[in-house]
Amino acid sequence: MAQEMIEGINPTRMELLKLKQREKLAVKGHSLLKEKRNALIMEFFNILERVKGSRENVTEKLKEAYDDLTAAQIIMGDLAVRKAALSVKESVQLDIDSRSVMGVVVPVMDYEVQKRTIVQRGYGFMDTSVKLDDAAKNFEESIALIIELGEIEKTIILLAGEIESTKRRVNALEHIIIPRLKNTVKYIEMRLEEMDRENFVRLKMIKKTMEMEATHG
Amino acid sequence: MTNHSNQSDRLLKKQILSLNRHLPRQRKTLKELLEEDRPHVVGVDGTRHRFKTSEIKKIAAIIPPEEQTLLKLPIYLEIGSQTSGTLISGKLELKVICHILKLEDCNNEKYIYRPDLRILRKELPTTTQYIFIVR
Repeated sequence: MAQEMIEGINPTRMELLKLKQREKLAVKGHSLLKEKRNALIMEFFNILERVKGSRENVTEKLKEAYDDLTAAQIIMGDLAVRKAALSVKESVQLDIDSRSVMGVVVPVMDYEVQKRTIVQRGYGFMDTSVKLDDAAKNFEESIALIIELGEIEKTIILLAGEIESTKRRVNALEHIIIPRLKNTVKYIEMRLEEMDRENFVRLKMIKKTMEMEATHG
Repeated sequence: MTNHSNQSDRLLKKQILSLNRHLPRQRKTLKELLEEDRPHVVGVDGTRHRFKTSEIKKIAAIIPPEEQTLLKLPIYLEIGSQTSGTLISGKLELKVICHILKLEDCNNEKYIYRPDLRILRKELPTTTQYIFIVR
């Protein structure tokens, strides 16, 4: 494969100095971006470890909760369940904010789920079933898991996007920009050496001609 | 060619400079953060960086109250282009890090490497931040 070079470049010492500066900058940029990419991948895997089993837990908990809710609806009737639900107050305090992971703004959810007893929930015991209590308990427990999962999944999506773009930049520097700069530097150095040699030969020739002219003259 | 090369140089410089745009304009002390309801700092790019209260409390348990005005958060994890490890400097910062990683010989500067860094970021994801050293 032919070595790629920057087109339309003049083989001068000035240009060589400029290119060497650019190469230095590109190498430094490459090294830093590579570190950033590695750190992002590490963050990604750290979060991936947290997500393992998280979705299954949420699904399982919600399934239990909905099963209990259906049972309560069968025993008490739909209207009675709705009536009981209206008297229940919110039990979650959620504070959504953001944090920055190397420039990637990811959500941070600070939450507090109150574990309530049957009395604290607010509905009466006379016309409600035990299945309703179970459903309420399971829904309360699943809220914390859902919040956690939401935070993790959004973070994973955002980090994956950033890893992708950083990887593309690192690859562009590693496989296109730096080799092209190196090849161009090499080409100019060779051209300058060649020009030096040409000059040397020309001077030799002139000297020889002058000497011959002096001898004949 | 010159225009093109200038443009690519500019883009690269911009990339390098934007590596540290997430850093806070001003760090806050542990004591200040403990007193805040929603402990946070604002980054150079204007983004909010929220600290988890549980993490701040964890650090507060390591640092004695009289030194809490001296420790600034987030703790910087310095990544350079010439070195392979991550540098952590500062006596109090190292006290926290060494306590979490169960390390010894912590003076004023310490390099940590990927396995330790992974544990550290897992334990303190909001109270530590990466900083890229551009020299």
